[in-house]
Amino acid sequence: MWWWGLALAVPIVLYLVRHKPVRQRVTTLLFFKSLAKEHQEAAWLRRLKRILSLLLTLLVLASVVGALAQPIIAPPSDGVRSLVIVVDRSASMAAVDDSGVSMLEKSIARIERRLAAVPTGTPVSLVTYDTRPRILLARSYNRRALLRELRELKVRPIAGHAAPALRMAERLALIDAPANVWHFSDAPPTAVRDEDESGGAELAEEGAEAITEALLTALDGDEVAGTSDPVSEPETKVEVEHIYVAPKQLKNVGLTGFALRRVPMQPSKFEAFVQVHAAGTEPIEVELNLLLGGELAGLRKFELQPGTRHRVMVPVEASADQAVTLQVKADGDALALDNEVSAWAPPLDPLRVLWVAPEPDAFTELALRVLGNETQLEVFHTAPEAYPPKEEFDVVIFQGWLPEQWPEDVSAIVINPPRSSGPVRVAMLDRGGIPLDGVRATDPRHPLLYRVATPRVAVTQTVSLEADAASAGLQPLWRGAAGAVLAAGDIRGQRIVVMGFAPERSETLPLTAAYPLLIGNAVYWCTEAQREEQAGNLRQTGELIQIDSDTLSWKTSRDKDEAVESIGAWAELDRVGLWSTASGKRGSAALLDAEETLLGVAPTLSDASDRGDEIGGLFSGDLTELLLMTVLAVLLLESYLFHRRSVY
Amino acid sequence: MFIRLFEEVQEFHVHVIVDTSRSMVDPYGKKRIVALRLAAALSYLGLVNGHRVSLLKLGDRVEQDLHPLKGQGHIHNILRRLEVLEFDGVTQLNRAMRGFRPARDRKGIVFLISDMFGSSLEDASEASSAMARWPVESHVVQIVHPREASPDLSGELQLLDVETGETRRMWLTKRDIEQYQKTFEQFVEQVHQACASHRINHVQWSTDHPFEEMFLNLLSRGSALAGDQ
Repeated sequence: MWWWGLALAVPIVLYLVRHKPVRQRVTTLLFFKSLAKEHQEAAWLRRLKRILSLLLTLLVLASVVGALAQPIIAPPSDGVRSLVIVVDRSASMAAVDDSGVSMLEKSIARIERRLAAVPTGTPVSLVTYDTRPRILLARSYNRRALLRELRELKVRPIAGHAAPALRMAERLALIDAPANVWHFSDAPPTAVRDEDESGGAELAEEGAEAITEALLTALDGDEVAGTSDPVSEPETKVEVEHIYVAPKQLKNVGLTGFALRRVPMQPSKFEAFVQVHAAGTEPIEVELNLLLGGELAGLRKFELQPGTRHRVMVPVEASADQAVTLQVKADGDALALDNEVSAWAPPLDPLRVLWVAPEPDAFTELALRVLGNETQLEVFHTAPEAYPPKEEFDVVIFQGWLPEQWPEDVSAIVINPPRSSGPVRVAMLDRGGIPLDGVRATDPRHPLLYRVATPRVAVTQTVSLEADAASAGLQPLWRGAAGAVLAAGDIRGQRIVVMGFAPERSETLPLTAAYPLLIGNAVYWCTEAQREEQAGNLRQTGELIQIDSDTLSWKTSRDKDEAVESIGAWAELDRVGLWSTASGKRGSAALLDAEETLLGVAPTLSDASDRGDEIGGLFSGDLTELLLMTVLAVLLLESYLFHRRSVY
Repeated sequence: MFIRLFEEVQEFHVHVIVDTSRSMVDPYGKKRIVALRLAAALSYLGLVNGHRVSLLKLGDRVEQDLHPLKGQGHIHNILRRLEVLEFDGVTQLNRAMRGFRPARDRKGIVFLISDMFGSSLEDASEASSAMARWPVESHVVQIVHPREASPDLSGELQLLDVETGETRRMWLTKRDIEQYQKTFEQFVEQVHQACASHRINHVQWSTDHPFEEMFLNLLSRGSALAGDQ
């Protein structure tokens, strides 16, 4: 509205700097008066001009009064009783097109145009979403409040999940059906449907359901009663329209994967795993910068084909507790929120490992000793009789033995289990096991198999890991002739690794570096949560974390440092950067979502749909600007007609 | 038989009426100077020829400013009086002429020295009708400054009537000035025609013309004062 203020200021400025007439003394005004009569022409023309001037003045007054009333005119309803607007505010909506307009701004502009065609008597709800949906306005008739909420919408650097929001919107719409749902997003409608069908973001969906239920209860009880089974016929009462907002041409690179850890055999060094995705129509030159404590410490350049990813290991010479940041840069990058990831370099706190074995195996002992020497690992060996221990350990290795009572409070690595126990369900193989010349990796990218040369592994499988309900959380990683040889999983927060082979009776595994690496990876994977708690604690934005203080202090490269007060013991990670609490807890958050990075491209129909928004016409919607424009135009017209060369 | 020839020397009463309104001095002061010089010259001519001379001033009415004087020696009184004559106020031509009656003691000659700007454009013509009723020989000397006939004005102006104090804000163009000149000429012609129709001598006296030339022109038009009886 500021430009209207500027426009209104023009006549005021013109008045203030107006030309002052020269004062001239004359002997008589008689001849000048006769001149004025010449200008007045005929009486009928004078009368006509007077009437016209009066009408213009009345028009100005009416327009001013109208503008002060801020009227909104809408066409008659088309049978639709309510409208729900769903707006995506996830990170990708911050992508800007060639003109510098973000997708969210574009969406808001289109919504405002469309709203002009919605009758004022139609209640409108506004739902926005990122990871979780949120109702900003429920069944409101106040268009001004709606527009205010819309204009205050901001993109959040969080991945978006549309399905929960759409479900919430449909339920809101059913309160006053038949209704329309407008869904504005940069995700193609097909992607939204796929997500809906796959039931993605279940956690968020549960939250949405709960919120909707609460809302339905809080809203008009009669209407809720009238739609007692609102989801029974949603397709007949609610029409969902996906309005696809995306740049016509885009280029984007973003970080979609990141991990920082100590090099297993060189604990004094770190290495960062980085995954970069690219979107666009032509190859992109990417610059990857490594920053330590905010200072540039490394730089790499590579070219990425559109739609592909690039994975790279970056050695990091950081000291413990130092901030490690990786940034990607590319010319014409459309989205900035996915260009950076930060983490704290983890400290060297030793991990305490308890090895319980009736007969210590030399190969395992050697592997653990190597790990203990090279990494911060403190290994304690004990006999089964001394189990359970009095002290606490980070991880327990059971080799050739399992306790009767499965320990549920500590991560466990089970090597050559003699029987089933707890979630570890095994079937013993006859004749002491089956020698396997090779195993097949079912998920070579699993952290447990990092740098392990699986094709060269030959083991003697002693047990087969059963896939029953108790061990359903265990994912097979190696498969042999008799089933799974190696499995790992997270069962009710407890990480478990099961190795169904006897190292001492295996052919090549103990003699290669694969076994110490496998043991080391297993120990690190099992204690990942503890290590994250101690150090990096990198999470995706949008996650909720439990904190033990009132404020969460953020350190980001985009904004100035800020302390955010949390409500209760939980805080949402809604920024990209490093955070810390007064109690010393700290971590970092980054977008790291390939779906957000791989921006869609607007279909050619986008222009047509843009034009389709212009359904309100000139004399519909908010008429305030039109009335102010009329005032200005009439004032200028009257000035031209009656005051340009006026003779009094 | 002796025939004695007598020459009758007739004595006239010369009325010199000077317009003392504000428009005779402001903004063109030369109009006042011309008017005073003309009044002095006419008075002197009258006194020299042994006529009785009255000095009157014209505003919203005609007032006797100096009692009738006779004799050449009174020219100094007239000059002193003219020197202190105040030019202020408005002109009501028609009303003033109707309210004035020249003395009937002798044959009268009236010289009206004025710019003839009254309360309206018709005021001057109507005044000439009133003058026609006087049993005297009447002369109207219309003093005009060249800038009154053709003003050098343009653009947006705030015009101030020096007599009434009335202001008008106007935007004057070249076309307007041409129209003004035309209107002024019509006014002068209208006054001239009105005077002529009542046998009143009308002379337009432009202040930029030589005084002597204009004075001789005035006398040459025929007047008892110049001995044309």
